[in-house]
Amino acid sequence: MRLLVSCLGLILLPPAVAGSEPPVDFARDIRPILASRCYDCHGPEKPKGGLQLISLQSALRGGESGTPALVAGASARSELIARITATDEEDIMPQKGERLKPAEITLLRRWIDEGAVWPENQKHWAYVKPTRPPVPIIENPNSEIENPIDAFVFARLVQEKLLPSPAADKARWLRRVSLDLIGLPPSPAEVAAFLDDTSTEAHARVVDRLLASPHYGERWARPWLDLARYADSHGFQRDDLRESWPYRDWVVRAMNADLPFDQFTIMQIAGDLLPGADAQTNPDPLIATGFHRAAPTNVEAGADQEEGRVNQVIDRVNTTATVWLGSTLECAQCHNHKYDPFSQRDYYRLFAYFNQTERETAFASAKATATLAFTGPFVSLPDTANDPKRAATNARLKTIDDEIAAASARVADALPAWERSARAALATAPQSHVLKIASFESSGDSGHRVLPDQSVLLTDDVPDRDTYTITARTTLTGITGFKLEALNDASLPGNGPGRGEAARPNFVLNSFRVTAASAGGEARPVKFVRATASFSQATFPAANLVAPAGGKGWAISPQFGRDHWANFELAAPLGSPEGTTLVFTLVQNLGSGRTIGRLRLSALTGSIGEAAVPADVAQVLPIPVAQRTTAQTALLHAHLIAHDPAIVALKQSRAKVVQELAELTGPRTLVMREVAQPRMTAVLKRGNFLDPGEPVQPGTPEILHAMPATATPNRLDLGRWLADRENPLVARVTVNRWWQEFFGQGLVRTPEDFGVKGEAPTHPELLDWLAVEFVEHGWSMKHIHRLIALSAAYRQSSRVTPELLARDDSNRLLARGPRFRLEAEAIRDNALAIAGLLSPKLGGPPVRPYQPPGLWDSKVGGDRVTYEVSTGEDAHRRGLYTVWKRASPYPSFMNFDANNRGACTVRRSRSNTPLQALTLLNDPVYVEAAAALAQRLARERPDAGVAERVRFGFQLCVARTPNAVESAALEELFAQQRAAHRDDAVAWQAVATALLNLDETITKN
Amino acid sequence: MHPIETRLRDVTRRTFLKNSGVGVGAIALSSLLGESLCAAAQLSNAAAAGARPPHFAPRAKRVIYLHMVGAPSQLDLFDHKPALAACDGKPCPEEFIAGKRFAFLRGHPTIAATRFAFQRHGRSGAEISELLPHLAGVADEIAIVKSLHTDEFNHAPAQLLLHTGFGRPGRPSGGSWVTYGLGSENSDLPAYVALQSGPLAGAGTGLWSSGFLPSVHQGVQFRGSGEPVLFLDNPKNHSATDRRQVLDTVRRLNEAQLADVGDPEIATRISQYELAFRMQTAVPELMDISKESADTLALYGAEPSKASFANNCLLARRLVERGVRIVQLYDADWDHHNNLATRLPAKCRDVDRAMAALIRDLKQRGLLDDTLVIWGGEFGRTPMAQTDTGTGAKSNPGRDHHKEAYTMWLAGGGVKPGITYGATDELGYNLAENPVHVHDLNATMLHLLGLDHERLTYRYQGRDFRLTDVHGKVVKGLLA
Repeated sequence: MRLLVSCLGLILLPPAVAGSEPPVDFARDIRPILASRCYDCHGPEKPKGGLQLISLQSALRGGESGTPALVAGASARSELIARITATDEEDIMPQKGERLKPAEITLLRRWIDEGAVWPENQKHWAYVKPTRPPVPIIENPNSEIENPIDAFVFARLVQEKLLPSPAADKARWLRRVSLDLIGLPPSPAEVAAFLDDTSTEAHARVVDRLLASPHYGERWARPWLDLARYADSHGFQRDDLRESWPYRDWVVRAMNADLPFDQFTIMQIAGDLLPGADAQTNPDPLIATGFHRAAPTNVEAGADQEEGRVNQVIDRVNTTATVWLGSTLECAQCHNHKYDPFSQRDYYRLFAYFNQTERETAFASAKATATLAFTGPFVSLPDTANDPKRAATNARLKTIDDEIAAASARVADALPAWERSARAALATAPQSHVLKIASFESSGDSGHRVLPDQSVLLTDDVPDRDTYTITARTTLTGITGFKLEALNDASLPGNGPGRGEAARPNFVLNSFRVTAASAGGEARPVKFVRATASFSQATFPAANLVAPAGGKGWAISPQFGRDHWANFELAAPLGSPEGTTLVFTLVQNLGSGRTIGRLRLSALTGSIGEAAVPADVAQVLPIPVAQRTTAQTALLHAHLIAHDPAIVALKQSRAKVVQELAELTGPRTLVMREVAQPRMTAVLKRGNFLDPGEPVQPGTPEILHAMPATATPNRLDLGRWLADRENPLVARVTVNRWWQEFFGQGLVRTPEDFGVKGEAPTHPELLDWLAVEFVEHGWSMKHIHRLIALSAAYRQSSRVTPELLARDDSNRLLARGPRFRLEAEAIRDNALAIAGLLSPKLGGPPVRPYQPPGLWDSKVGGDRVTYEVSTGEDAHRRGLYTVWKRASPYPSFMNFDANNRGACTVRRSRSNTPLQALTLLNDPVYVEAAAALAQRLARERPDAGVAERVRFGFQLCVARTPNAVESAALEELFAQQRAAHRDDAVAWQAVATALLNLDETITKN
Repeated sequence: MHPIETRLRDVTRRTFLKNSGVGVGAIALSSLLGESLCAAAQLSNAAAAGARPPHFAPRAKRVIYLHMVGAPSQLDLFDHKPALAACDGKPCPEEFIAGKRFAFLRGHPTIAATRFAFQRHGRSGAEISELLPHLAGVADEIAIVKSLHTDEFNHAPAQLLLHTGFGRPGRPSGGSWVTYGLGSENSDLPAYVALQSGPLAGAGTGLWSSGFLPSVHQGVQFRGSGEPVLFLDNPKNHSATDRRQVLDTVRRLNEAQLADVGDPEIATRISQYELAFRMQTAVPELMDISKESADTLALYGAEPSKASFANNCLLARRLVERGVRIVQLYDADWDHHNNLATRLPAKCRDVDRAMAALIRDLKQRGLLDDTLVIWGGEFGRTPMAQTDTGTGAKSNPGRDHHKEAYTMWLAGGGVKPGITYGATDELGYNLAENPVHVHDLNATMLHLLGLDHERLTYRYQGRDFRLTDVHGKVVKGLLA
């Protein structure tokens, strides 16, 4: 420990007194303990045993026993101290939660002994608007003072009799500041340039370069998107993907442009209500409201839609309070807050602002009684970039339509010739008779509709597996077989015929069983002798369905997007004029929704070939041309057109072009939109949405700054109130979160809770100075970041001695620089950058980097989406752009403490686990990065020896040059691997793997 | 073996089995930098992994939790209600629907009696339906709780409420709370493992997520096919020797870095890399059930190298044998809104033999005494029939979601065996005695593990969170 000795500096301005311990400060030291450890039972609400510890008076009055809780000046005679130090389980306080820490007990003792000073009506520090404190002047400072931040930090160190750490070496600082400001490591050229730049402006030049980088916004969007609980899916059981990424890109752009934080706030809370907001001409304010549309939506069938809506409003209130007020309001959902001055009424007055937006779900169809669809409001954004492509695609569509029309006309000409041959064949050709559906059952709870053509269209949630049970009655006789058609439909993914997913709409029919019962007779299974199909997948022939062994069933990959049929020939004809009841059982149990999406059943008569003539066509054919009705002629035309190979091919091309066109629509994004008819808001008793109490009007908590009165208060007023210069919390809360990003911990270490239960700031004057500086400097985020990045406090080395670690293990006093593991996305970004793989592309739809196969395939409820790994540069985009599916988030990020974005997160945990080691060693993403790094070493240092390449690789990873021990270890690894494999590439990959796995590589040092 | 590693291993093994409360980082650090730093490191984030003492003497050391995703029908399995037969097919009493909300039922539904036969079993005379003949054989080992109730009647929220104490995403699962409270007893395997048969449950991987607790407490999914744990296998052509050489190099550099900068997190990192290396051997060994005796395989109905509930039950026993604290099994497809008459028997065939085998096997190995087994779904099913699919189409009858009353069973780990606890009313709609809310179940689970659910708290976003939120009471009547 570097203890201060007499020659060291004196502080001339506050904090004034050094020397004996300062007196205990009630607001700073005592109230937080009482609030967090005692108020659960002895706070303002329903005190246990009648004892309240909310004022000196109440403490002296004591509880029902009449014993005062304390005796001012005599801790030894104070009941409070006796109880918190009791050893008997029955007596010890608190009864709930952890025991008090020795330091807390000491503080309480000292406070009582010093007279138990308990100021009345003293507002908690965080609810008093900050004023700019004087900057301490340190004479003979022990370190360079770069800006006022340092004066505050070093003044505190003087007080603590500690010395600041020396500055980190230049390479380490450059890496630290690059990772902090743009989330990427410096390139070797940047390192070299900075090491060569000996001017006094060198650091400032680097910081300004980084602040101007487009990657700055990407890096700083990450923590903001955690606050916004931004994700690319709804969450809950029906976790379908949603399109709202333009909001994510707007955050990046806003940060790059240093959009003043007050405007940044107002746009996200209420951009839709700002004058001039328009999806085409001024979309940003609308896009920004995606912040609160990121709340998860429950679209599960059978969910109570009003409950879902209320839960979202609650989420919006709680998130707003956490992000802009650093306050935990959710306690006040059910009752007045136990510690902080927020009443339940305050809560629902805030709720009223958010209670006016549209519901995001509706019944899935007019008939549906429980199944839901996501209907949340969105806007389509301008997409001028795609205009030329759209025009070209439309032109292609027109050409195909013309060709279809021409081909159809030719078919009409060919009709007479076809009729002649068809009539000749009709004598022996089979005829098909569409069966009328009497009932349809899906074992997987699918919905269905019987269409006018008697085909059954499956709807709603796609079950993993399904068995259809279909009943039909017919009076046909001489039935020689059955035809099963698996048909396309625009409502099916990729047009079908399967239901699983758009990319591969296959189905696998495992068995096709039929029973027949004559009127009054028993149902008997029918026997088949043969099955043929329009097309069968290589190892899934339709013949499997009639083979005794069964086989794997019938499937149709890769001929998706077109109709298919299979004919099943009976061993013996069946049917009677009294009627036959047929029950078809279609088992489809492959999983992953490989089930038929639209099907039709027909009975066949006559001898079965592969080209059955439909019965209705067969009926028309014998009628002389002149006697046919228009409808009959049209029927023949339609039949011919439907079976003309050229037209079938054209129609398939058309479907593809239509699909392309659909994909060319401009991006959509979710927005807030007010309902036309305002809703009434009431206090919800115990938070229960079915139990409304007293009605309330929109309004803000009374303890905080006033809101100017308006006639019809709405979200825009709330947004302006949050970003008001009079708001005592917003600037402090915001700069504190940034501080946390730079130093690993905020100046207030409970960044989500500035209330009485939260921790007091470690450097209160510094916090207030930064808050005021932020507001007075036009709410500029970049200005504050520049100050922090250029401070000497931030520049300190992160080395820690055992003594300092013992004194201040978590670096509260800032006597050293920050050192902590990078966050999940940054670990991957960093590895890809080092390997030379990282794509610099900004923005756009979410991407799907490699993840192990199958993770999205099997899931109860919702659309089925196969995780198709992105190709090209999209395989190597920054982690910010990785698709965030709440029920199945990207696994390697989760292993590094990312969260599934189900709720607002202010602080991610930072754990250290074996799964992290396995991820970095074995995840193909990192294996690929190691291989690429090995190649990069060879490519960029072609003529270098082992030592030089090792040095280069080391510099790429951690910016500094390796010392002798480090070089030797890596060179030895190369030699071992070279000897074992006799392959330089393999040996270099091992070295690269080691480099990417170093603690230092994944750490901001 | 490197001397530090030897030391680390010896010390950590020993330490993990005692309740020292000292993490790996602290031990590694003390060996590197001398004892003086040990105390400081204990204060840091490093000490996350080792075993920690419970609040009081535990009855159970581990939990196997069999979650039937979708919610099995208690009325067809355990809660026998002969009175339903009398009004089968008749409109249900008005009070069943007045002011009530259902996921799917609309209008005035009819009563549906069970189609299955019930019998009394064992000395305890527990009523169990014919669909669970194997479980009936161990009736005297289990405590059937007929009075569960919950607040949520949609799958994802109810699964989240049961697992995390809150019906919306973001909070830690019970398993994470337990490992947060008690740490790990095995230095080669994660303390909390999830196994799955069938599709992922509606609430997704959030069911075994550590929420706002550090991710060291998250459940790790072991998979029946492919890599048993994601990223467990070395890349192709990278042998164990290659891996060891890389790891030794990484460790040398990390040690140099530790000596230079002194950050205890580096010591933890070193130990976590060693643990990862050991996991690469321990996990495949664990997952290989082919060396189990033919009798054992037959008892469970397990077949090596197949993903099934039966295999998962056998794996659960192997996991708890190795000191894994929480094993959570998820079996899908219990959501029988229609065709209950055929679908429920099929699902029972999937699980009955194996779950009974699990109890017998744990017992014969002396593990049942301190292993708590819990079986059940996220809610129950209605005494009324559901005859549509919610899309407007008709269907063969099933039952809708029911949050007012349902059944779960518990066994071992300090639970009174051979009892039936709680009861529903005559028609099985409401609770009649001894209600057990899912919060109470969680409070009881923690209690059996030696944890006071009101004291197991974590400060986050300004609140002291608990698994039981602000509710829950230990169900004394279930304790042996």
